[in-house]
Amino acid sequence: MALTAALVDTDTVLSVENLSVYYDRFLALTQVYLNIPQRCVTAFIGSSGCGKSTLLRCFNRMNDLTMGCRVQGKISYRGTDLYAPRVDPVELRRQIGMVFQKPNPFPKSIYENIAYPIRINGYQGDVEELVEQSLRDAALWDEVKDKLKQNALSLSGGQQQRLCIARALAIEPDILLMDEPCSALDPISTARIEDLIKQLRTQYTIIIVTHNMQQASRISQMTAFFNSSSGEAGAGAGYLVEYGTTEQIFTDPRQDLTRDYVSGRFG
Amino acid sequence: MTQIDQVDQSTPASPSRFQANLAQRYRADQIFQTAALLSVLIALFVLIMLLGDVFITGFPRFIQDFPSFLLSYPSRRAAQAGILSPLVGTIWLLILTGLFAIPTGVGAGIFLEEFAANTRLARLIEINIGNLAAVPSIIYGLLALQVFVRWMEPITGGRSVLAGGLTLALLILPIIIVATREALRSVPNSIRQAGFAVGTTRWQVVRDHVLPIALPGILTGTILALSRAIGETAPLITIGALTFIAFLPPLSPIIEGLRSPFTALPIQTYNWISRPQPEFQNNAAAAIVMLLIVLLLMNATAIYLRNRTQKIRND
Ligand SMILES: Nc1ncnc2c1ncn2[C@@H]1O[C@H](COP(=O)(O)OP(=O)(O)O)[C@@H](O)[C@H]1O
Ligand SMILES: [Mg+2]
Repeated sequence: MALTAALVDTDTVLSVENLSVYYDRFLALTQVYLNIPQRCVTAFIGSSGCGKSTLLRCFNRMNDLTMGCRVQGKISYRGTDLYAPRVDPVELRRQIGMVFQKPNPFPKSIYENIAYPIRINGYQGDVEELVEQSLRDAALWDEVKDKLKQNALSLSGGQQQRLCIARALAIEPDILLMDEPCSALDPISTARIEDLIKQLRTQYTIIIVTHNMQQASRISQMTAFFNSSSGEAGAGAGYLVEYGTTEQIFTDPRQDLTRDYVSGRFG
Repeated sequence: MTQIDQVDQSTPASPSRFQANLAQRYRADQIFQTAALLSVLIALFVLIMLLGDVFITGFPRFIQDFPSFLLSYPSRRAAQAGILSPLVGTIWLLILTGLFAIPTGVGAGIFLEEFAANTRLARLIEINIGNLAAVPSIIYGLLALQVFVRWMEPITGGRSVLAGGLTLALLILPIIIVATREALRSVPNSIRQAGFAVGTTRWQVVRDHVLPIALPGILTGTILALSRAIGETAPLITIGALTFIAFLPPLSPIIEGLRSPFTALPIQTYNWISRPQPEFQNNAAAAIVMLLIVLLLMNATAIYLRNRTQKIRND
């Protein structure tokens, strides 16, 4: 309890103010206010289609690449407006890394998967050293050190996902966004990635979307619960129901909706 | 409850609510398979008849005077006539067409697929490129006659091999664009996202991740388009390729070569086949044999390149 309280007081890295996101005319996410604290794990939970991935993709401006996506409101990243014209999304994505739901290594060698982002971002030091360091950070080095020249697609799904995490860590990001990183993995691989996240959270700010309530309670300090108002015409707009420390959300939720969701009675 | 009981009691022997009717289903299977096989046989039969006819008429002429048929100019006497100038003309056309059509077509395909926003204009262009691929080749010939032969005469020198290369390039441009876009579209989007997420620009994503995966498809489509180009006759006749040429385009200075008149294998074939004497018919068949050899070589190159790039990718 003391630990989480201390964590909540630390600096805010990302601050979301009155954010709404549209896909063409469809309102996917509406009026979100949220402050993400530094160096801890924030979990986004909620049923499918309530805009968790949409919000995550706003943080590294991956939404810019989606045709018809419009963002209203404000997101500040360490004080600067993320959507200000002078913010370069390419540079931003080096600082805010992302791991996807389905492991997506480049169809190249294991080494090249890590070395590529290092080189492309103009690393001045020893590339080989940083490749090894990144693989160690992602708890993958021992498994792949003898086959760095092999194609990354020859790895198992769990190893591929850790390779993707290593790839994201290699360019020394500030924040790591993870969109259901374990949903395509078996329980053992999932456990390894959870261990990894627990190690990483002392150095990085991690935001993770998950469908697994136990996972959220095991690895996160903060939890945000989203829901979508089921409108008359199909899917409604997603919105933030409740945000607080993970302990509070799971043991003492303020909203009935949250209580129903975390106790598994709905969703 | 009763339903569950029924299921529990039923054994394979007892009457079931499903009628598998396997005998009839297998019969339908058989009928369809036979029909499909028949279609293959008909297609093969026609192809073999055509090739057989060409080879029986043309091969003796091709093989008896083996190098001399390839190395002599066309002549009024059938026995002395050869295909040197049309063969060289076809090779010139092949190189020029590739030079003009590949960079432009692949570039346009990359732009439309990876860079252009999905606006109404982009969709309009997309539909029209599809339409262009279906325009009869003689129409391209008419357009080229006006543009490349008449308007651009100061550059192309009129009915020159350069004008011919430009014409064929124009003809296969839509095919190359469509093939390039298909190949790019088959690259999974997750690869692009992986690239963007580590801080790469759009061009870096295309160059380093998308193109290497799409390359085999682009190569195959491009080479097949070139094969189509060198078999074309109508547009070349329209822009006035000659049928009797007793010299080769000079290689130096190259501009002279580009601006000299030309002929090509399909045109020479067309010319010979319209003559009454049977000797010329044999010559025509022999020229077709040569054209087929060129086409086979190109398709073999396409397959070789595809396999090689795929192997590199899988390593
Ligand atoms: N690229 C897109 N174009 C149009 N609608 C989209 C797109 N991506 C997501 N949506 C819609 O936005 C809503 C939120 O989606 P998403 O953020 O993926 O939800 P979640 O990750 O919480 O499951 C859904 O209704 C979805 O259909
Ligand atoms: Mg999602």
